[in-house]
Amino acid sequence: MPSKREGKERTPEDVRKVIKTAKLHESELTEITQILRFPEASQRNNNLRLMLLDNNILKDIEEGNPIVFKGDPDENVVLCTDNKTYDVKEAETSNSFLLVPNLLFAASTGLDETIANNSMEDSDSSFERSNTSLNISNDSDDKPPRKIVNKDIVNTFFTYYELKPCKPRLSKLSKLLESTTFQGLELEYKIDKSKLLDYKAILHKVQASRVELDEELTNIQAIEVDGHYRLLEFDYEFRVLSYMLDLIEENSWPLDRVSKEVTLDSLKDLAPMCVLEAMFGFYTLKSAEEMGVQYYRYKEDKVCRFLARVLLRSAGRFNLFEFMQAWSDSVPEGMTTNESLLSGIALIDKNVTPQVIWGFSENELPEDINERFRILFHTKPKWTVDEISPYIQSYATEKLNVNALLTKHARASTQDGVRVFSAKHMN
Amino acid sequence: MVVFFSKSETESGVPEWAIVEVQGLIQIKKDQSGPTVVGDLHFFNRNKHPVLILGHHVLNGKEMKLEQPMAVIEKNEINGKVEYAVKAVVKKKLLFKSRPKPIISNVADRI
Repeated sequence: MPSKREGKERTPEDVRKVIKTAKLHESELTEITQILRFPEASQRNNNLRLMLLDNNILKDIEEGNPIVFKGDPDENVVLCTDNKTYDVKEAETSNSFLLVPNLLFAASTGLDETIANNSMEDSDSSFERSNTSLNISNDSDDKPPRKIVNKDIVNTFFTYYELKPCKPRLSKLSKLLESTTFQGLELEYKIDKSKLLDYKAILHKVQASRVELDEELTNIQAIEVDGHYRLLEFDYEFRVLSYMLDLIEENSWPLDRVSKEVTLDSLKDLAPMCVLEAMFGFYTLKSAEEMGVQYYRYKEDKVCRFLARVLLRSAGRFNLFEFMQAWSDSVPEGMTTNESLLSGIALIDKNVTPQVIWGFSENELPEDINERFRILFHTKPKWTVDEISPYIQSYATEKLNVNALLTKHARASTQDGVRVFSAKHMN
Repeated sequence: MVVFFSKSETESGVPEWAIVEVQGLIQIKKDQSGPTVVGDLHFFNRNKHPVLILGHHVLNGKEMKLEQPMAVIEKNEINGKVEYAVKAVVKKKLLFKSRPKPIISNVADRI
């Protein structure tokens, strides 16, 4: 639609004339006319964007909580609040959105009984009202002049950003940290110091909110050493854990009477205190408190799984029976190993004689889900849901659970009465 | 890379702006310099509905709460660093979605 004449200010008379031509009755309208206009070029703002919010982000904005965009040039940008991550997408609309600061809504444009007479009593306002309706019939000129306010349209929009809650993109975190794994103080000289990252650097690089990042740092067992976040190198973690577990026998502790104090004190010359503290935290739970002393016990499943990974680490297949024996011997006395603990770290083939087991760990699989499924089915043609879950769990979302993922990427069939999944296509 | 949102400038919180949504295209040519009138916006006393006189058309609309609120964000480059600021939030709009009613007049005056 064409815009009208430029330049000179409109007068109430101009506006009245237009109202009349449009066959509207001035008396039916509230007393303020807002003239929408595009301001002078210097006052237009082309740097503005619209972004749809949800109530959580609105609250964050109104309370002044920090929000950030995150993304490298090769990543899709996300928006992070303190505890949530959102996918940012641009959406289009065929309508024009005219953005107007300070626009008056009906309630603020006067001559509305509730506004105009809010100080008056009810009886008065009913009188007013009858007066107003009288005016309609005699559209005369003795009314106060129309109030005119100019309202500038800062810009017109045909697109806006949409935000969708998404999973934080955390896979980058391990990659950022893996080149600087901590292998003990004596090997620190080998570490490229320029690659060490502090918390702020990590928070800026990883597409996740602070809360989600903290969770993941704990999850992947990153430890703060001298202000930098480090992963423990596998062999080093094994060494420290072994020291810790050896103390159980040395001190003849019952499994639920592990002393933190003695553990840290006995090992303080063998590993930095921050590592010991963190490792103790990862691997133990509080058990009993006796006479003011807090005792701990080791997380049995976690210890067993880690020691299984140690045994499975050397490539190749093991005789299942021999493996189970060796595994059981490697854990502290009183802890029990169990085949079910191996889910996600090893695969077992019971269709051959002798039965075999080999290490197969989730975090060594490719990130691309199609590629991952290809490798999974290449390794083992048929999987039950329980078997495959640990390897694809990380792709599941609230809307798309493991079963839905399998429906999408695999073919279901039944084998000996058990539902199994196999590759969708023959390759 | 991370891009921060700077704190909004006013102490009293984030101002609330409004959107006037109309069908079709309302745009200004980049080279048009002075202020350009788009239309006159009135409200009916009776039902508080907005009416917009736009060129030779009358548009009847209504005031609506946005299903999802919007933020008006401004991209700025400060010393070569990109920064966003939340200029305002939008919670309500005037929606003109009905077919525009043409003004038929015999009056010689052009609007």
